[in-house]
Amino acid sequence: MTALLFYGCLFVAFSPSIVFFTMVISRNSQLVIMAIAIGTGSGITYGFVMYGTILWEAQGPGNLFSPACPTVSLFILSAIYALCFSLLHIAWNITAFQGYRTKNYFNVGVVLLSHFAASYFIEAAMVPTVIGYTFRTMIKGDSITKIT
Amino acid sequence: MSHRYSALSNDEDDAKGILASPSDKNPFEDDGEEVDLLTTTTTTTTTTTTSTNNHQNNNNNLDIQNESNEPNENTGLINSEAHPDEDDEEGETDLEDFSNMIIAILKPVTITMFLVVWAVRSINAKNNILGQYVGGGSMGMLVYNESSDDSTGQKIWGSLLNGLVFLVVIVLTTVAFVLLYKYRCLKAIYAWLFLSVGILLASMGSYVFMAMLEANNLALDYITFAFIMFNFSVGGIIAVFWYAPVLMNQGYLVLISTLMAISISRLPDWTTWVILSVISIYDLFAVLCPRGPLKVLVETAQERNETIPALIYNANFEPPSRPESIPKPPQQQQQQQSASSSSSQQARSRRNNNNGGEDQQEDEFGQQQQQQEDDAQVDVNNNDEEVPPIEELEPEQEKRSLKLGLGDFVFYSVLMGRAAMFDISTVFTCFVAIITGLFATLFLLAIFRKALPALPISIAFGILFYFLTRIFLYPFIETMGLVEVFI
Repeated sequence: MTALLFYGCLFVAFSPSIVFFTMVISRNSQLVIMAIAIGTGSGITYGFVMYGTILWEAQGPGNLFSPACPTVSLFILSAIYALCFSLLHIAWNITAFQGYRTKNYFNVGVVLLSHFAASYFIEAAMVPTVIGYTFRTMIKGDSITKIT
Repeated sequence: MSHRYSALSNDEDDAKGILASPSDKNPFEDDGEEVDLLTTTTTTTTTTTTSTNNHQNNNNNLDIQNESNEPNENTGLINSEAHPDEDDEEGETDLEDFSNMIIAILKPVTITMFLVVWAVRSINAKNNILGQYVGGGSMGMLVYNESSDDSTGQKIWGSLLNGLVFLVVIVLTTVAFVLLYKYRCLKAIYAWLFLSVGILLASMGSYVFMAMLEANNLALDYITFAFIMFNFSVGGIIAVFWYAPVLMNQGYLVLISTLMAISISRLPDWTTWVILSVISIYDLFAVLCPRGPLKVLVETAQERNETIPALIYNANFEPPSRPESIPKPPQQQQQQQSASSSSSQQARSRRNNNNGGEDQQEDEFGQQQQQQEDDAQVDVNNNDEEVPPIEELEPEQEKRSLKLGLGDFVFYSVLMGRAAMFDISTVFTCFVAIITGLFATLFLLAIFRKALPALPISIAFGILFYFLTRIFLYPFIETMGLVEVFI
């Protein structure tokens, strides 16, 4: 793959979570709740381990193309998935913390179900859904501050 | 440098528990502020310094002996230096931000690991004539030269033997160092250190430099090469043991750790793992057991109120800046100010007592630094009261330092280099494991406030994660990657 594609994949997959960590979490460490930090960390690690290894092996000549769109490299597609999944990790962690803390296991169930769904379907539409649900719980929940 | 261990004795004065009693404030209570977990459990006010008494990194005569680097000294003594500031009842204790300290210690460790991984991957015996000196081959002076067609039993037995030899060498060298220090043979110690650092920088630096030149197909004549390497190594000795800009000092320490890790990574596979585990277990004993050499060293240094002549990385970081949104109640401010001024007076007098005769240059520098620090402290306090700062002082914030020994850097990087030889996925997981271990050790340091070994937890996690990744995660990732499925 070309260098342009390599760096493109690298930044697409990792920059939102890393930027989120550097700009938001590091700067406001006192105010960040634990769930966000843990989610970001696990999202970044997930991105590195699952996607970074594939990307690393994509160095050198040659490229893989997706069957449905023959001009789209599989790596950039996977990069987008990795990006979605790292964001999803943040959302899942917040919801799961909220669920376990308030003993409202419906939230935990949502996390499990959406995790399964995301893995089985790998749709990008899961991301706004899950993140939307997370925001709903955060706004509606009375105990968001308990998620230290 | 003398103030580092003087601060250790401040510990008794402050008698501050790590879990600073946050005035029966339940950290999980909803008091309108989200409190970070880290801040509630560690006293942010204290300067934690992880110092490992390693002087041993320097001792790396490649041509003469098997790794006689004394990682025991290097390997993590973590000394916590109580910052002579602030009372227990401070409200800001649990709001302080640790990210400065964590970044300050994370940067050099990450850079060292990255450099070693890069060197191990790009310079190996297959594509470089000098690769035999860098990675993954076999070393001349081992008892058992491992080759890939030995049986497993032979390999295990041989690597255990190698590990034993290595351990004996380390123990002997550590004991020798402690004896030299105890009987005040400082000239011998310094000669040892200077020669080791110089030879390490010159020889391993030359190998790596030549390998880099060859890899990029560049040409350089021997005269210029000798000139560069001579200046490089002598500059390194000066930067580490004498005055130099902080960045240069830190850069050279990172380079020393990198070069040493690169040289150790040419041990064969099984031997490396055995050596890593043996060294971390030894480190645990050497630092924590009552008659362990490192403990004796630290205690002797404490008694004499001196600094240990060793290779220690001093990570300077600024204390957390308190955000304006969190209001400072005035009486706490006064408390803080009075406490800090009184304690800084204490600290100053105590530090000034420490300038023993032996470490002349370091004492001067240390005194300078202390003075600046003390003045900066006082300056900060003045700023709190909105008094204009004294003109001739730099209005900088108080710098705190976290001390980590170079042996820790070396062995973390050795583990990373070994992980890099397998696959990049092991690099990522071992990185996470080592960093987690390092943070756990820092946490323990905040609790126990005395010299702690930094190696065991990190190396244990690292080895565990390496083998788990290699056996379980690697096939998983490969398979998942092929079918583009994300779990």
